[in-house]
Amino acid sequence: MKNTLLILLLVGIFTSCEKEDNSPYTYSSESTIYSDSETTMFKEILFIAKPYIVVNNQKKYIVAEYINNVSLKVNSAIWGTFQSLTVDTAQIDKEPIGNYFVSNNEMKYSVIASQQSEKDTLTTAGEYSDLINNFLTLKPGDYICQIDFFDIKLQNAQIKRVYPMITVPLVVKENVKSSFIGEFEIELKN
Amino acid sequence: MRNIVIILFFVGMYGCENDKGKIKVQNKVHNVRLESVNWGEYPVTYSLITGEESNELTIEDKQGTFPKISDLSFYMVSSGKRVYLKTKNKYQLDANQNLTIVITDTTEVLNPSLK
Repeated sequence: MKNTLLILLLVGIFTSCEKEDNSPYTYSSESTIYSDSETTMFKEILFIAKPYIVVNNQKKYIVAEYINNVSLKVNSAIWGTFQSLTVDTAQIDKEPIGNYFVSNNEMKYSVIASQQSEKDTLTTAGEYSDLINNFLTLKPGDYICQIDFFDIKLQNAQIKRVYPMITVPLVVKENVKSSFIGEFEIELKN
Repeated sequence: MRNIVIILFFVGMYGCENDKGKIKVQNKVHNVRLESVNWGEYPVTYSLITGEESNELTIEDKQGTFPKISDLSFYMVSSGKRVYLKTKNKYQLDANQNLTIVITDTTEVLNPSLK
């Protein structure tokens, strides 16, 4: 009897102190915004910029490694700020004229503009709600795309901001990832 | 002897009685669903649409382990897109407290992958 009571006592003490198992299951911190939609979402605007100056009634194309801070808007909403693909200027026959290095051959600066979020500045649940409700959701239809400005390097290494004021239609088709909106010759004042 | 052991048994049971607190979460963020809502290590609810409130989760632990303090983590989901977030603030649950955490548009959150 004594042994039974002692066992009962020990079992009682140990089991009464057991914590209920609320084992957590943890989630990974992978947290980029992603979509599980099966349709292809539109997310890229592509175009080519060809800045030039006119010298003696002849076009001279600006030679630079890239253009950057290219500012795009779609239907007046900021799409993002981008840098063009880089150009290997060492392979190009160029000469300095005025503020620029220029070439007689066409210089093409290709811009691939994927919609950017202002994620660095998001701090509240409401802002994230706006983001995931609007991010990458340009639905099929017609839009207006504006190239507001970009920066280009002068031959003295200074930066010049150019305002091309380009406004073109942007057509988003069903189940398409990107749209090429054109090649733009942009005259700069020397 | 038998009486002493029985008394010790009940003293042991009483001395190790757990503390409890209750917690629930409301989603007042516009136009999103909150999924896999966890308060620290405790899963509170699987899914909450805007305006919905979770069932109360009872958290039971040894005496002396309260108050417990944790942030709230969840997936914010809408239109097939989702992002993993944690609240910037931590919420404290005391023993015998019924805590309601309300997530609103102005609740400050962190995206761990952007740290």
